[in-house]
Amino acid sequence: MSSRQEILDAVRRNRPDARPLPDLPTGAALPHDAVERFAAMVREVGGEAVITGDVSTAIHNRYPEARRVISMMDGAPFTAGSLDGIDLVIIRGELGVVENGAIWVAESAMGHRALPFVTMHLVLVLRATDLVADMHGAYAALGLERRTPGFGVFISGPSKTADIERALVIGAQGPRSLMVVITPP
Amino acid sequence: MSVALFIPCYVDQLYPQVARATLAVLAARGVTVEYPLAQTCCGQPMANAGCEGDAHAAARRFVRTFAGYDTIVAPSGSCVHYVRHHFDALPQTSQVQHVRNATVELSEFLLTLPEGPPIDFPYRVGVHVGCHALRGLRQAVSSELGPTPGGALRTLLATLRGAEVVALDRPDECCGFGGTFAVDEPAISARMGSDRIADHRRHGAQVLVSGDMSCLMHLDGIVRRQGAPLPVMHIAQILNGERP
Amino acid sequence: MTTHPEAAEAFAQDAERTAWHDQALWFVRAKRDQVTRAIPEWEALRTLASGIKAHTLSRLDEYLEQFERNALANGVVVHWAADADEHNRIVLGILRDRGATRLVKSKSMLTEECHLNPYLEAHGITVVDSDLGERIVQLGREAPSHIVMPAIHKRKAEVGALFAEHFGTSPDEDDPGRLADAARGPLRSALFGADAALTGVNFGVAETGGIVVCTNEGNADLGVHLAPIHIACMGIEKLVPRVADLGVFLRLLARSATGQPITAYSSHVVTPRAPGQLHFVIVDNGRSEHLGRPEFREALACIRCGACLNTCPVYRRSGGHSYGSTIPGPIGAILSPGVDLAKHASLPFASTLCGSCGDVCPVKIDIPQQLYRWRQMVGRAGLLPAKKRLTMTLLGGVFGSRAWYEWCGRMARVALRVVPGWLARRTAWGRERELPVAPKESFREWYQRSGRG
Repeated sequence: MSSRQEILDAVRRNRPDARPLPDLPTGAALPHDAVERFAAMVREVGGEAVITGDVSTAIHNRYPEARRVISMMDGAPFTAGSLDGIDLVIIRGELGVVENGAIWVAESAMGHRALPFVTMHLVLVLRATDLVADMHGAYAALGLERRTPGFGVFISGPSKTADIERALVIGAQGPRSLMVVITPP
Repeated sequence: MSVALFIPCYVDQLYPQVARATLAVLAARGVTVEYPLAQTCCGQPMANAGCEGDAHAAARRFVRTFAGYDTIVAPSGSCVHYVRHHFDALPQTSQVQHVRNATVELSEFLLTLPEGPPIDFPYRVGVHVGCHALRGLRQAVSSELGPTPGGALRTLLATLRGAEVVALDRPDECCGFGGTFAVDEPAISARMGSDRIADHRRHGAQVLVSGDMSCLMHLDGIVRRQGAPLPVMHIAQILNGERP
Repeated sequence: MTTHPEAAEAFAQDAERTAWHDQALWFVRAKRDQVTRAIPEWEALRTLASGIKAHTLSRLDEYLEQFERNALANGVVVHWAADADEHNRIVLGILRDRGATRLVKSKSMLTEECHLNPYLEAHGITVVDSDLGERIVQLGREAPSHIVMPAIHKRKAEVGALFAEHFGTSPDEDDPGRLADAARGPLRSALFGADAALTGVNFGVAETGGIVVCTNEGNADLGVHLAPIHIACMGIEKLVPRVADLGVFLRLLARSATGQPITAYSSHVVTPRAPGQLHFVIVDNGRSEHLGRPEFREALACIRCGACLNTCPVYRRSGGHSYGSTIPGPIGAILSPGVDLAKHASLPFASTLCGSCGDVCPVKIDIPQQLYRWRQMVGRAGLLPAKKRLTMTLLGGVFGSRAWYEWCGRMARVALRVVPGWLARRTAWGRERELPVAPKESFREWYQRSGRG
C-alpha cells in the first residue's frame, strides 16, 4: 500500500468526531484616521512611510544614490538582467492592512517573484484608498479563494533578524530598508 | 448550613498556626466549622507525581469524610483545584460530584461572608497568588490574559488598614515549588524561588503573603537559607490579626 | 540517557547565562502581552483558532485530499511520507533527479525532527541553513534550542567566535549588527548559488492547495524564488480549510511568537515559478497515531509559535537543549512522549504545572492538563524512577488511613526536629532550602486537646 493511502487510512481511522467549522469575522470598520495609523504601523515595524502624491520626488529624495533602479509600476515582466546587484525596486502594493502595516503584493505586480527580496532597498507604492482595518478585511477584499495568484506576499517592514542576543538588526538577508509611499486620493 | 474545614496534610503537620488562624477567622465571621478527624490528604502529591492510582485511597477518604457537609473550606488553592478538577478520575457518584462542587478556597469563601473586624497591617505586602488558585481556579486574572489581576486575595488585602501591595516586575511568575518538582528538579525550583524573592525584595516587600502555604514553605526555605529576613504569612494569619 | 533534571541543572550552573536567557525570553513574553492587549478581541480569536483547528483535525483526511487535488491542479508535485526515513529519501530523490547538490533551507522544525541535514550531507549534498539563527547553530554543530529563536542559548561573544572561524570576522567582534552583517554576504551567496531551496510550511490551505511560509529575514523567499526547485515539507496537521482562515492565524502567530504584529514576510506560494518546480512533501511521522489518542490529540493544533517556551519559567531557566527533543519547552513535553515515552519520560515532569503555557497558547491547547495526563501515562507504563514509584505507593497507603497518617506525621515532625544540618543539606529539598521548622503539635492534636474534636 502506498504511503499516501496508509496515511489517509490512519487519519480516517483515528480522527475525532465531527466538529463544526466556525464562521469567520468579516473585519473591523476602517478607522477615520486609517492613513495615519497605517503609516505609524509601517514605522513601528521598521519601515518608512511617506504620504505624498509626488512619488518620484519622494523616492529620489530618500534614495539619491541608488544606481540600479527597477520600477515595476507599469506591471511589465522583469527582463532587465541579473537579479543580483539591484539597489532599488519599486512595486505597486495592492492592499494595506492598518493593524500590522502589511502590504499585499501579488506576483503580477512584481515582475519576478524574487524582486521584492533580492533588492537592497524596496519601495512599495500604495493608494490611500487601498487600506483595510485588519487581516480578516484583507482576505475578504483579496478574495484569494476565487482568483489565486501563483504567488503573493504580505510585506510588513524590511528584512530583519533578532537571532543574535535578541538584538534587532534591520536588513538581514533581504532589503535593508522599506519605504511605503501612500498616495492620497 | 454545615461547613467543614479541610486542612491540607502539610499544613496540619507543619503549619498548625495557619489552620488555627483559619478556624479563628471563620469564627470571627460567625461561621462554625467542623474539622472531621477522618481527613488526611486530597491525593494531589501522588497524582501530580504520575501515580493517580495511589491517590485514590486518599481521594475516596476525602469524599467519605466530607460528603455530608454543605460546604468544605480549605486554606489552599492548590488542594481545592485538585479536588475540583482531578477528582474526575474517580467514578462520578453523587457524593463525588457534591464534594467537587462544594469545596471552596478560604479567601473566596470569606468574600461571601460579612466583613470581619477592622485590622491594621502597616506593611508593604508582596502578594503571591499560587498558580493553581490563579490559573487553575481563575481566582484572579493571569498576566497572560490581562493587565489587572484583581482576585480574592487582593480584595481581602485591600480591607486591611495601612497595607500597601507592592508592584512586581513579574506579577505572577511561578515560585518554583510545583509539588514533587521541588525535589525532582531542585536546581531549577530553587532558582525560580530565589528569582521570585528577588523581585519582591527589589520592590520593598516587608512580608510575603499567599493563600497557599506550599508556595510559602518553599519560599521561606530559600529566604532562610539566604539568611536575610523576609517573613512569609498565610492570608488567614493576617486576617486573624497576626503580625510578621 | 540524560534526563531533564540533569541537563537543566547543568545549564543552570552558569548562573549569569541562565539569568540572561530568562530575561531575554521574558522580554519576548512581555512584548507578547503588550501587543495582544492592543487587540480587544484577542480571546475570541484564540477560541476561533482553536475551533478551526479542532474542525480541521476532525476531517483531516478530507482536507488532505482536497489540498492534494488542488495542489496537483496548480502544477505542484505532491509526495507523501509515512515517516522520517521516507521523508528524507523523497527529498534526496528530488535533488538527485535534477542533479542538485547545493541546497538552501529556511527554518523547518519538521526537517529537524526528521534529521534531514545529516542524512543529506552523508549523501553528498551541501546544506546551508539560511535563517541566521539556524545558520549559527548549524555552524556550531548544535540543534536549535528554541523553535522560533534557534540560537537563543548562545551569547554574542560565542557567535563572534563562530563567525571569526567561518566568516573571517575579528575574534573580538561581538556587535550583533556587525555580526549579522558579516553573515549577510555568505548567506546571500549561498542563496544565489543554490540548486534547490527547501522550506517548512506554516499553513497549508486545502481550498487553494497553496502554502504559507512566514519569515522575518526574507530568507525563505530568497531561496525559493532564485533556485529552480522549491521543496516544501509539511506535517499533515498544518492544514487549514479556507484561505480566509489565515486571517485568524496570521493575527495570532507573530504576536504570540515574538510580539510583532505580523512577520515581515507572509508568503503565499500556490504554483511553481515559471520555469521551476514546486514539490510538497506531506509527512505523517507519528501524527496520525497521535490523532488517535483522544486525551492528547489537541496538541496537533500547535502552530509552533513558541509562546509556551517563552513564558515557561522552567524552560527559561533550563534552556532548550535540556529537553533532549526536537521541540523543547511545554509543547515539546506533550508531543515528544507520544513519539517515545521511555526516552522522554522525564519531560512531563519538567514543569510546575503553573499553567502559564496554556494561557498564552494562541490555539488554546490545555498544555498543563496534557502534562498531567502524560505523567499518568509515564506512571502506568512503569517508567517512573524506582525511588519515586515506591515513595508514592507508601504515601498513598499512609494517606489512605487516619492512624497511619497521624503516626507518620508525628514521626516526620520528630525527624525534622532532630535531623542534623549537614544531613538535611544532602536531601533534594535541603540542598537549596532550609527545611520547615516542625512544631511539636499538629493542628489535629491541638484540636483534640482543646476539646473541640
